[in-house]
Amino acid sequence: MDSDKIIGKDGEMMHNNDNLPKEIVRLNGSERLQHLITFVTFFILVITGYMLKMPEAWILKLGTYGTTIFDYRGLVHRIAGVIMIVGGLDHIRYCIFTKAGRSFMFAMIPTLKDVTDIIGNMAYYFGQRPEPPEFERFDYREKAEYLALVAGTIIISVTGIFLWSEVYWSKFVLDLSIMIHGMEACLATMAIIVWHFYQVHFKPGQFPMSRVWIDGKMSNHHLKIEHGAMYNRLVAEGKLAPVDEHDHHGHHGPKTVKQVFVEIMTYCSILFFMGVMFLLGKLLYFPPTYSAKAKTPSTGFDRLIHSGGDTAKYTRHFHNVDDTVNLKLANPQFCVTCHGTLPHSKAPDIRSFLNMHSYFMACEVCHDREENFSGKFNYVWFDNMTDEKVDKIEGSNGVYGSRLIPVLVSDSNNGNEIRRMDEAEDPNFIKSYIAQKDILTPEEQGKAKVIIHKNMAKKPVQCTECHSSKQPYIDLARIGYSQKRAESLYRTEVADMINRYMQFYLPTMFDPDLMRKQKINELKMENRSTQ
Amino acid sequence: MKNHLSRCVCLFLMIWMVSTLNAPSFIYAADEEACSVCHKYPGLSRIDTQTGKSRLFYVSQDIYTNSVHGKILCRNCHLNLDVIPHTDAKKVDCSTKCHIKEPSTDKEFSHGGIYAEFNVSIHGLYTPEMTKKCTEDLPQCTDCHVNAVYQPVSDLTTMKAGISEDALRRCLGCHENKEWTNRFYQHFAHRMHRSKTALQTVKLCLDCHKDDKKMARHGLTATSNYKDTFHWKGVLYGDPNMPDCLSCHAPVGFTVHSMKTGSDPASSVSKNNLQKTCANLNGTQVCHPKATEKFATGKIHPTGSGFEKQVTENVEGEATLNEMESLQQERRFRDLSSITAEDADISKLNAQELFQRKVYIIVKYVYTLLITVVIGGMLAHQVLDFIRILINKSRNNHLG
Repeated sequence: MDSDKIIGKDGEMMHNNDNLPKEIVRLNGSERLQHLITFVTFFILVITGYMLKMPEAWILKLGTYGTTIFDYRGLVHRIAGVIMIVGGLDHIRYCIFTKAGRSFMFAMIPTLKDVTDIIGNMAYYFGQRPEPPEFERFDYREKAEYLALVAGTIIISVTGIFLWSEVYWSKFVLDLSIMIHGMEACLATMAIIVWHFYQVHFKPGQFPMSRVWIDGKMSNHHLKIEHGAMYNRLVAEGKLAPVDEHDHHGHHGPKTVKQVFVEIMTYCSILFFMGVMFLLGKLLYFPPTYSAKAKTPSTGFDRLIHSGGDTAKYTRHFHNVDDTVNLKLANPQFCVTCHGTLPHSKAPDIRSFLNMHSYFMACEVCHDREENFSGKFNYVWFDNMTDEKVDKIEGSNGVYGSRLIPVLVSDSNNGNEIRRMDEAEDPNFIKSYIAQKDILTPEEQGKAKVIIHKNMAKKPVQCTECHSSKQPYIDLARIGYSQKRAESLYRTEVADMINRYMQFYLPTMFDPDLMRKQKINELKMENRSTQ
Repeated sequence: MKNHLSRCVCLFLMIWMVSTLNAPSFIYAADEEACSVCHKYPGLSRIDTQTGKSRLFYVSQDIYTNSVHGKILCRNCHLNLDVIPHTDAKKVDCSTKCHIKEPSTDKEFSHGGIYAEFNVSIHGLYTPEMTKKCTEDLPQCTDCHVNAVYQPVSDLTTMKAGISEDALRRCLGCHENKEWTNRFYQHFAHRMHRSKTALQTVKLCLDCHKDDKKMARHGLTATSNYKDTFHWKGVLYGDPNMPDCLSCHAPVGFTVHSMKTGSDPASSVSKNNLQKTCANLNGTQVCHPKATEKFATGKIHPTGSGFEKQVTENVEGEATLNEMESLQQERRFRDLSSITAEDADISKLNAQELFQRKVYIIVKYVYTLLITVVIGGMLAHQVLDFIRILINKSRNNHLG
């Protein structure tokens, strides 16, 4: 079937314009099918192909689905590729063995007129002539696109086949193939967006799309504007009704809702494809370099112990340190801002023990003493993330999700809360000090520090003050520890260890059974009752 | 609707049941030495005043007892822990003999054999043919190994660490000591799969091998383009069968601990072994079974030739690291212009490889130029078209 065949009557010359068709078949059924196959496979190929070029971070987000997606990606890419190649071969058959195909092929051959058309059209764009040149069935844009499609399909098919049959080729051929395959894909995708989409989607009046690829028809009005030479030829031959100038009236009224919607959609889709163009351009000119940032817990266990957070720092720890070592505070106070979460370093014997306490206590618990303030201290647990009061601590080993913070309350009976002790009295002074620290002289820095730390206890609370059953500094049972745990903290766990520090020998120390045996031995030595 | 709902409930129940079956069953071994009295606190750590790094002394007992060393006492590896703080503790030496018996020989168990093997490999300290300049760069046991935690045999993502009760119940029929059976089961199950995912392995190797300076100190170039390979993409997607570094550099028949340099005939990537390595016929995953001799040629990790020259100069003390850095930044642009026959000798490329490299680079540049010109031209054309339409429109509105 000839694609230029006129709908309705054929054969006899009709001089009555009313009986002449008002539209032509621009793409016949076979061509529309070819277009459909090309465009579906093209998009599948682009998507599955660029999945290999996606930023690492995006791929890692796929998580455990990644491997399945990767398998199907390859399969789908190959299937679509084969269909595209078969479609291409079928197109060759179409162009040679069918009448419509031959007419299509001959109309696509570039001619001298195309060169003059380009020059003429440029002159039109630059305002040097009032009307664009009159184009034949395919204008220079369509010819260029078609020829680029043919060349691109050949290049990308050949390199694709090379890559598929990799074991028979040398590394050099494969390197070249994979590079050309990618480059050609980039060229094709960009060309489709800039050249084809503009022509059939984005061009004013076209959005959402030209309908030629669906029903294949083009009105005489449209034909006259876009393919004037062909229009003139068909009208002269009496195969097409001339455009009735009265039929056509532009929309000059106010914009309808539909028009506004279409406009908005146009801009949205243009923005989207500009984004795609940007990514492609970035890939082409600034290919990513390996960042080694790719880190994802991939095994079940990894997820179990590294449940979020910046654990990369600790994953190399031989003993698989879990995420709890990272003390997370939503609003770290000024102490932490300067001194960090591991502030103690001066006393080599006990600094780690002291840091261990910082994990679940504010500095002020030990470094502020009640007697320096007018009021009493209430020791309250505050949540690390929400800073809300916690009535009952949960968890163990200091991992309570909250920290113990002294709260200053007035001495009087009603006990009004004055302030949380970890909140600075004069935050602005500290802020300005931190900001200007570098420009201050050491003497000035020293003075400022004295002011900031003026309320600090001269002698911080000592280990034995709390870890002692005789009048402990803090009533551990009252602040939320169980009686049993409090007893243990008062006595066995810490105090004894400190007392027996120098003679300390590990295995016997904290083992209750060994302790008991030892005690019994001691008692026996002293000839006392062991009951 | 009701039916649908009850099906949902059923499904939920099933999932719940399955998940509880596989819940981690940590074994709480008695803390014989009472180390955990202090070391159970995550806050037990400090900043090293000399290095500024944090030293973590926290050991999670749950994790430790489920790890491969879970049965070993702390003091068996950490020697001299007689006082607190452990000031005179010795650095752990993995090659010492442990006080446990190796069941196949009844001798004392030790990692010493592997350590000795490792030490004569390219990564080790005592490679005879190579002078090791910066020994601090060389990997230690713990740079690659951690105290691995037992994983269930299945790679099911929903499965948590621990053991499959379902499988274990078959053992427990005869072996009554549950703790012993758990451990025995885990010992095997853990080794049914790789302890590191491909992604982790790549990251581990590249931690050193992507470091230009570190590599230059040893006369090597950094592995710059593994990320360009299809292999890497598969690894990134999490495909367990995609090759990481070790799939080629330590395939079946070669071990990680005796890695050799590529030019050594004993290396899996030396010319005579490469075809076999690509095919990987004996591996769990057969890779390129039909690999031809031709296929197994060429460099998998090619780098800019000019850069290799610079590295050589650096090793000989003629170029500074700064120069190398700046060169590396402009490497992409220097590739084309700077390849000379002279570079060929230094970069170990033969004439054919050099020619191929040139062709590759030229094609790449031509294509980039082509894309720029074609797409740029198209863009200009469409912008002109658009402007013309707008002008016409405003003119028509003006007239009409």
